[in-house]
Amino acid sequence: MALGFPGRSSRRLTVDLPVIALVLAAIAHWIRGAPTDALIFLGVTLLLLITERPRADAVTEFDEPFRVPAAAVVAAGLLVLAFGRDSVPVAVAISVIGLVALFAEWRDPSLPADRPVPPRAWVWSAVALSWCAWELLSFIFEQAAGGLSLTHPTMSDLVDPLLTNRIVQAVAITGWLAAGVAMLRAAAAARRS
Amino acid sequence: MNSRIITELGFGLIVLTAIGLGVASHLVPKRIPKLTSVLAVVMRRRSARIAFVLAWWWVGWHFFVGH
Repeated sequence: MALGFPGRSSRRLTVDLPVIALVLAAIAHWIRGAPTDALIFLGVTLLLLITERPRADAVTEFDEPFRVPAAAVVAAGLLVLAFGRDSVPVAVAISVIGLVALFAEWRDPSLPADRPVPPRAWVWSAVALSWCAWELLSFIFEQAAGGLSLTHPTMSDLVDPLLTNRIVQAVAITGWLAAGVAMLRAAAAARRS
Repeated sequence: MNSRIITELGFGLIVLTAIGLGVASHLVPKRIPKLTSVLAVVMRRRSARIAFVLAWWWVGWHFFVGH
């Protein structure tokens, strides 16, 4: 049941949807004029393709999951409160967070898709795809209108003005980090159970 | 109704739907699965894990670095 939609075949797809999504994201970043972001996505995709190539000596054991103390999440908020976004300490912190998260997730092997997708999981896929489609549509209209974010704002155009206040920035980065930790913790616990 | 309001309403509707699903998944978990339980199944593949981590990290990078 690809993406959790009912009626979809449970057979393994010949293409890896996440890899396709990463390549599309890299192209989208390039088109929107963010070559650094495009290269990051492309680099990770290439590393992933190399890592995921079929091997006879594939590792199937798990290391201990990373423990992220709640204090670390609060510390990220305090860091933004002290220095504000676009500062070097915050850039370093977010870079380190990303590298640690990628490393932690890269260590664990791929597991066979033998667990059933929960019933009605498609509703979450539908929300995610709707957001992607609406963002893409807004971006296309924005570009067609000469880059006028006032008439066709993307999500970034709408959220960015809210982040001018440093307290809001601190709350936002705390929420962002907590959401990421919750996502990774749930996934790590489930594949070890 | 101008194009900006339509765009904002679209985003608002999607966000409200996600919040509604999140609440519903806690109230009636047998009818609506929790997002974390869906992710837990999807993220058994390494490529899916890396894609989700990169997408999540990029949100932080995009809004907090490089303006």
